[in-house]
Amino acid sequence: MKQFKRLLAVLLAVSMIFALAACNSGKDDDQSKTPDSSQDGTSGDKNNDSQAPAWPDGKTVTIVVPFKVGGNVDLCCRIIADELGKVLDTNVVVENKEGGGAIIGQTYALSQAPDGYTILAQTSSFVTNILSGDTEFGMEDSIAIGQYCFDPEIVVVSADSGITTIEQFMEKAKSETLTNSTPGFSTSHHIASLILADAHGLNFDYLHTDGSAEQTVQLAGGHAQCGLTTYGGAATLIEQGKIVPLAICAAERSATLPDVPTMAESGYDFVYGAWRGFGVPAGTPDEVVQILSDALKTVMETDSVVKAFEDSGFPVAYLSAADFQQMMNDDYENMSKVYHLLEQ
Amino acid sequence: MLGNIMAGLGALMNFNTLLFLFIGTLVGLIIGALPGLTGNMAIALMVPVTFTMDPVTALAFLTSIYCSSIFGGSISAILLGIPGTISSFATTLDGYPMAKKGQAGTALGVSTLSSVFGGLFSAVVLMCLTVVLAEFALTFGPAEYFAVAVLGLSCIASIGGKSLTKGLLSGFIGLFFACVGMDPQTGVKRYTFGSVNLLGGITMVAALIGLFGVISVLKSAEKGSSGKDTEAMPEVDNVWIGWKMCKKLLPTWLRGSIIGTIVGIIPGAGTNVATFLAYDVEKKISKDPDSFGQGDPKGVAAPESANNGVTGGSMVPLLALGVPGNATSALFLGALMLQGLSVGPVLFTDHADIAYAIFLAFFIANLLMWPLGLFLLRYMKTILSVPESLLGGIILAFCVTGVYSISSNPFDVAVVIFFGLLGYVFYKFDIPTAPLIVCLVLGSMAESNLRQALVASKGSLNFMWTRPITLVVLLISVVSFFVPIISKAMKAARKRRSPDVVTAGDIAESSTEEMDDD
Repeated sequence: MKQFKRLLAVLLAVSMIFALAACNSGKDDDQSKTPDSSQDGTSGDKNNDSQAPAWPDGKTVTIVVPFKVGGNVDLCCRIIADELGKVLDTNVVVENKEGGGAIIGQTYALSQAPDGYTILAQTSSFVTNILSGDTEFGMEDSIAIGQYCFDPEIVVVSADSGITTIEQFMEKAKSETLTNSTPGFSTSHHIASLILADAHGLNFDYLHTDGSAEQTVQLAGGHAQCGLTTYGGAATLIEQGKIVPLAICAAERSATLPDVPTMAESGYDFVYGAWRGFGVPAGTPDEVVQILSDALKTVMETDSVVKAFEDSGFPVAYLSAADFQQMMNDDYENMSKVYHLLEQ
Repeated sequence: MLGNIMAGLGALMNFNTLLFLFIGTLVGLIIGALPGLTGNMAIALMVPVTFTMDPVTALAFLTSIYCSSIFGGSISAILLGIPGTISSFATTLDGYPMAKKGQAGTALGVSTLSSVFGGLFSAVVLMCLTVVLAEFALTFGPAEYFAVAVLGLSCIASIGGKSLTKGLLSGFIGLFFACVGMDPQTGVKRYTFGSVNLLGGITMVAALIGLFGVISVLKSAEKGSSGKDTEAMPEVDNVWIGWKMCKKLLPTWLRGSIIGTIVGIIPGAGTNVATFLAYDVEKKISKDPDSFGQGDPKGVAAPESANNGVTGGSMVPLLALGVPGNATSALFLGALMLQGLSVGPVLFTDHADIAYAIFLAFFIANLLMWPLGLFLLRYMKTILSVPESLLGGIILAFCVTGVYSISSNPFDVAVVIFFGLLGYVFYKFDIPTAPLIVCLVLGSMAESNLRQALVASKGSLNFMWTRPITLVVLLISVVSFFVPIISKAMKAARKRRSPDVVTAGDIAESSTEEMDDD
């Protein structure tokens, strides 16, 4: 009996190890809806008959997300990975390497072989991290593939603040100090507030919370008066009237908030938002970049992807490799002018 | 409301949905039990998968993972002394000693029933009071969060073991480690030594697993080298605890569930605070507080009913206002939006059937946990019959794999080793590790919210007495901190007067951390 129990226990332990292994590989399997998703490359010869280019040749493509599982960027990448796998006829997996303000994941992705099999999920923090001086990589160490999303900042106030228009807001922030809730120090929402305040002489005291959920709760509860945020996180509280959107920091009005004016309409020239795209390590062959860039374009035009993005509140905005690279370079220029604001 | 319940039930009652509820419960249980892997991770990975399911099935599936993963954490906490998730840390305090005494079955039975009770309780609250309680969630600003964090910290006095000095020492070391990383308000880097790995602070799960997992290996290695035979655990008893025990534990379950549900409703307060508080309250009102830490079933029942109470509670602000109460409900928000559903009052007017289907999914998931848990645990408890010297290696392998899988960062493994060695030093000097963990988990919450409260009050400390909730919670914290110290001092004074009387405290002399049975 005792022998049997021991055997059972060892079996249990072994099965737990398998369960663990299954959890990890499950990550991969979830992404692969294509029938020939074997990772050992045996499916390669199948592709030789077709006219498809050699790359990616059935080999797994990894998207490195430098953020937590379940965050906005992660969610976007997982929606895209599924479809990208179908377009490229291979396995596309998402790997999360969070921490260090995204530096850990960014460094990891850019130090991989420049063969296109490792893609970095690039966000605004890529540029700000380089400016912070904490990174070993620079702007020249990545090549853009394309942008898929641009999420403009929205100036919002708590319903309790009594402010209803952007003019009122600017007036009040000039004459007194408003408490400004952010999702954390040096996040894009914080930087946007700093730039706005610097340009127009506004006075803010910052409440740096931990994440956009906490930021919006503080606004909804009236514990902070104003803030800059993106639509997705604040949508339900805006619908309930607990948070009031005043203006959107984009070139055009948003389809989801048609009544909210742009900053430019109100006479303030300010376009700012969180951009999201992909890049590969410098040295990746041009034709591979082209294949990836074209595939991303196809993905972002797929109905199911567009719907998933819309429903999640992420505005789709595709930019080609060249345009995205230009945009990042511009962003770097603009940010280097205002970066000193963070260091005060 | 009855109509809505029937509509929700109708939406749930199909083979596919029920199958996913079952799978979710099973998956959650296993993921929760593996040290390092959390239900959060499982849910995050499943959210994109649920995109193709219909809304009710998708949410029922996620709900069942959520509920059972919280319960699953208690399995490794009891059997191995390693909390599967941070929220089952308090369960180790009494669950592991119970297992050492040969009551592993009872401990697992208690934790199963407590989890089911807590889960069902919060599901009832969720169903009946969501709309009423939602507004309460918004009254919490930085000042209130700070007070809640202090209340959580105050319990270190009672879980700090026999020496107050050593307990406080451990707590302060914990607070120090909580300082590591970027300053939340100014972005200044503290104790990062130029490493980007420390910018975000110390990975909590890695530190916790180091303190619990590595140390058990070192202890058994120590025994092996001292020439003593490493013995397998004594025979384990039945997982069914009997009605008498249930009746005895009912008040504990109720208190635990209420604490859990309330803390769950407050967005951002977190499951961990709830378990610390529930354990602490139970110990303070107990007639025999010294039995806590020695394997008191109530010490398992309180945190386990509390952490499952949080599950339903955390959905209250999410469903009623669209405000996620914790990291897991933030993932639910993502899943709901991905389905094209908006949360908040509109959910109840436009999609009442879905809202009530979620409520009922909570019920069914918790009910499923009962038979499934009791059945699986009958086999799982036999893991204890593996000799300790063999088990140690397996545990270590699990801990390292689990921690590495959090963010595939080798640095986290180094954190495990560091805290493992630190834990061993603590063990050698007989310093309790429990206060360190409480302070590590709550330190940054207290700091960040104090700083925010000070910004909001323009640098004045008056928020501590001008805001009623803050004031009350802070006063309770003071009482909670000093009561155990004073009662200990009084007991010592009485002992000095009559040295012949041996109190229960002396028999149970060893600290909470010393769980050795030899």
